[in-house]
Amino acid sequence: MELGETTLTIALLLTVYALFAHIIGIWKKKNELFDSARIAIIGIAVLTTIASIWLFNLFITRNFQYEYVAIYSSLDLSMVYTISAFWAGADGSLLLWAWLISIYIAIIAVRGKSYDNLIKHAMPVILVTLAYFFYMLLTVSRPFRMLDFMPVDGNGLNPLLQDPGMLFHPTTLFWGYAGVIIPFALMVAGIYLADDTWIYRARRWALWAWLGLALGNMFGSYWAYTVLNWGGFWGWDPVENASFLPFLTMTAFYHSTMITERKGGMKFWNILLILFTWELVVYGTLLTRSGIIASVHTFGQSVTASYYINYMIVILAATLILVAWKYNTIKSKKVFESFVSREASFLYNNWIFMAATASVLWGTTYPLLSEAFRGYKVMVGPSFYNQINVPLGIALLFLMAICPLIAWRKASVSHLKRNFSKPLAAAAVAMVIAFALGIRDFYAQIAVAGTVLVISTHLMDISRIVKKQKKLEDAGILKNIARAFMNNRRTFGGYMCHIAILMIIVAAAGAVVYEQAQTFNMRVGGTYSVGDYNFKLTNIDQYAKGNRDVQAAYFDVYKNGEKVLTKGEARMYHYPKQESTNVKPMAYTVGIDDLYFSAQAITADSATVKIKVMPMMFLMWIGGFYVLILGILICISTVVPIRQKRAFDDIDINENIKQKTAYIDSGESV
Amino acid sequence: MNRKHKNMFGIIIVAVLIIYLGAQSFSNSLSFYYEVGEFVQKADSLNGTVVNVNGTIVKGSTIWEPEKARLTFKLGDNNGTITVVSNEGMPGNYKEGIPAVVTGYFINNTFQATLVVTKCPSKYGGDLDHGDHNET
Repeated sequence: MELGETTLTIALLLTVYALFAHIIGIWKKKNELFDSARIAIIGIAVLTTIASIWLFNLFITRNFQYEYVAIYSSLDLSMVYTISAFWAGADGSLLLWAWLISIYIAIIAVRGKSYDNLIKHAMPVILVTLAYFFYMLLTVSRPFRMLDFMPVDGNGLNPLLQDPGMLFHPTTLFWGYAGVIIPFALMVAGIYLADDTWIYRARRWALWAWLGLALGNMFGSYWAYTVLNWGGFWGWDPVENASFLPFLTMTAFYHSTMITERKGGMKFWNILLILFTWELVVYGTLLTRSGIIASVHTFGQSVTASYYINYMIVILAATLILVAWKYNTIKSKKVFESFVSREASFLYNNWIFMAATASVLWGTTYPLLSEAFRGYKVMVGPSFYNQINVPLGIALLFLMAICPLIAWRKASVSHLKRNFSKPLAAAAVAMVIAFALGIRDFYAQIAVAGTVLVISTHLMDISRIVKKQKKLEDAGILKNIARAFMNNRRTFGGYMCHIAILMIIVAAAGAVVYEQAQTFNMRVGGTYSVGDYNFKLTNIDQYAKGNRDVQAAYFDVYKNGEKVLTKGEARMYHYPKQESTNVKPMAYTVGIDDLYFSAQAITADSATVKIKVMPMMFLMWIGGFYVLILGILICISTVVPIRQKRAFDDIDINENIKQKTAYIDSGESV
Repeated sequence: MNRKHKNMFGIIIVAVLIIYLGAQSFSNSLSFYYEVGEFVQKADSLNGTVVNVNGTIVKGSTIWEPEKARLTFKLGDNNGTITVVSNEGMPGNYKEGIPAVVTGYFINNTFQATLVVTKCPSKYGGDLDHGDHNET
């Protein structure tokens, strides 16, 4: 038997063993079974790692007798993209997913101390899923399927995937996809055991998954911007939407867990959110990897579609039955006393995310429903998504501005005046100044007001936290700030995420509202203007690079008579192996603007090039890649101490209640 | 009506407004999606409506005029063929013999495409070169 399938078969057997060891261990209360199951789980990770390394090896050695290797690589493909071809297709992606899940559960299994009753009940959910994935990898989605002949060469990797972005986009996305199953399994175990602590246990994994999903979406967006030549950073394509949906629900989940942690509310809601998130993860895989949806991005049907659909139906039905069975044990405390309060702002936040999720899900799924029930195919254009999600984005922007300073329980009018009069005044002044400077578009004005509001309210709250720290122990301004940061990392991390989202919104608004674009048929030596910039076509060149022929048109760019960019390029690639021609969009950041070159045709002495000037785009990448990621990492660093602290608090509260009850029972006054 | 009811009323109005806006924009954003054979039968009745047509780029049909950034090719399936003209330059991954979806309208027996999207990046593949057919 072939090595890859042998290791996967043993991994499947170990998964089934670990699953039954857990079930029998729970049933018969035999702890020694969990010890052997934990060893089996570590074995699963080792075997899946061997299978994955084997697949890498098959690509590196260009073993085209393996169908998957032959379809997604070729002799002329550079080594780095030969390695990334691992996840270029559905079979390798499923292996990557299973590999990451197996590593995650091995990490849990290795840490024996935390392998408590909740984990013991959660693990079977993950093991069932993993066994199902292994079964698919051995039957319908086989990366190690061998051909009965040796092809001379492989087909080669799709040229659009031959980009550094493709090294990171699928890997980070599947890191997030794999991570979501852990909070989902903890939720199932929590409901079964009527143990609310699943929320605290799930938070760290939820954040980890959220980090992966955030990175995956950002890399996808950057790839669309710099490779796909869609002319922008987001096109509401079903494939993009598929990765965006679980990110939305996971963001909602992370916010609502704060209410659960602090007030004991929204428990049922959290269950639904994490269920939706896991279902949307599988749905995303179904859309992107099975070819089920009638869109520009899918062609033909795949046998794996029914496997994903069946899994989704079983998981949904089983979870809902469990929820119905244990409904009486899911008791949320009443937390909403007023519609104007911090609690309510979290609720509104969740509504916004759910409205966005519903609209994106509807637009993405409608073509399927239309074909199934009405007999004709349709496509949903970007205008629908924009019309719904732009107002929701604005609402989110202002909610972000309100949340740091609004009072818990109920915000009085005097409280609102005290906290918001200065930020509102600052926003009004900023809008007037922006108007005077020529920023008069409605959405641009909204972005200016939102930016000033968000930054000012966040700074005011940070200043409040630092002042509190100073009152506790004044150690000088810098030390006070550092200590305030260390003691409130989750708040600071969350605020960094808010600022990152603000940067993305401002970049999107700037690029969409103030984008200037022109298409020119240019001659060498000619100068053409877009906005404040003059573009001079200086030279045209053709050369071979790696497995492609490059045609390049070179530009010098001037602004107000000064040269601001030398040898900016518009490029087209021709791949002889694939007989395919591609446009390679090129973006250059000059000041606050991105200069975006998209060649339509290049000849020996002329070029037809679409040139765009897109302001503020740099904020999207700084915000999405650096600030957001740093914010999430800071949040992750706080999860453990907070959970421990919370556990101690709970004990104290319970002790207090016991003491008080004892007093009452004995007839003494409290 | 107490304050709570007023607040609820306000929230419901906002929700209804969002749903109304969504429904309005949704119907405007829909465009039909045909296979080439279906489209050929309905082309005359569409009166220039923007639609999407899915088919395969016919081998040997491409005319590329780089000085005009104009691409002309035939798109077909088992039930028909149409001539497609695009003035938007060379689309990504363009290659004869692969599936493509064109978005645009039909005028003067020609499909004027505003968008040509070729086979999905994540759905690449195709027939393998058997070479000398070394059976193993």
